[in-house]
Amino acid sequence: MDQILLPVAGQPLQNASKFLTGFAETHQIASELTQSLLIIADELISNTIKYGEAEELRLTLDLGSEKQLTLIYSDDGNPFNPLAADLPDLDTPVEDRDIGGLGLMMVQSMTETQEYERTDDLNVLVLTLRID
Amino acid sequence: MALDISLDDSKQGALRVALNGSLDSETAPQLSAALGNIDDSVSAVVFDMKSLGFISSTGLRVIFTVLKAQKSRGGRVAVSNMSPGVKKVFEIVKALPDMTVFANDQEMDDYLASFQRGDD
Repeated sequence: MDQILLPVAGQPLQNASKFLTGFAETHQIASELTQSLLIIADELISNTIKYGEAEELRLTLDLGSEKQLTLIYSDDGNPFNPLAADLPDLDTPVEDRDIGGLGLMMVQSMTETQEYERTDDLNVLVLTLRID
Repeated sequence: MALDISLDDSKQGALRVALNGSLDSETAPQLSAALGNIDDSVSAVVFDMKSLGFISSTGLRVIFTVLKAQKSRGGRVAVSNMSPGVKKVFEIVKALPDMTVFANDQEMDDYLASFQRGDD
């Protein structure tokens, strides 16, 4: 299990992507899965920075088996369940869409399971990704 | 992660935007600023993504904003040379049907060749 603490005040996005690419190299994760991890981290972290009023974020990666990678994201910001947010209507042409909720959409479609919990004043999101 | 943006408006009515690097939540404001006032005479914006390694939803939003503006006045937006990872993101949000997609430089160049060279 690998973990990194990311103070919001200290370039959390850049540090997260270094952490993720380092993890991917060590464990020889395929580049497509690495891209998914980077996108997920970008979506979650940028969302927390924008709305969450959090001070500290935490990313944990766990290679549970050859087939599954678990990513746990937690922050100490305002209670927010991203899984309960509205998703965009993708059957509407882009030019008529309300351009929001895309990040969440991305996180959901790149992961196999998603669970949210508010525990000890933390938002905890547990995501699993399938390894092909 | 960083993003280099290069704009080419040497063809009348067309703007070619070459992206190099990562279009994420940190760099998207840069692109947004660079494309802030596209001239009304532009009826086609072509994003060359040959050197774009990564795009997040914040990056998509900038492209969608351009797409909305173009479509509202009869223009179009095209994307070229998407890597499989970048293409996947566009597919997830079902954006490809609303854009012209060029698989390679040749297709993009052929399209741009249909525009007149500008005076400058």
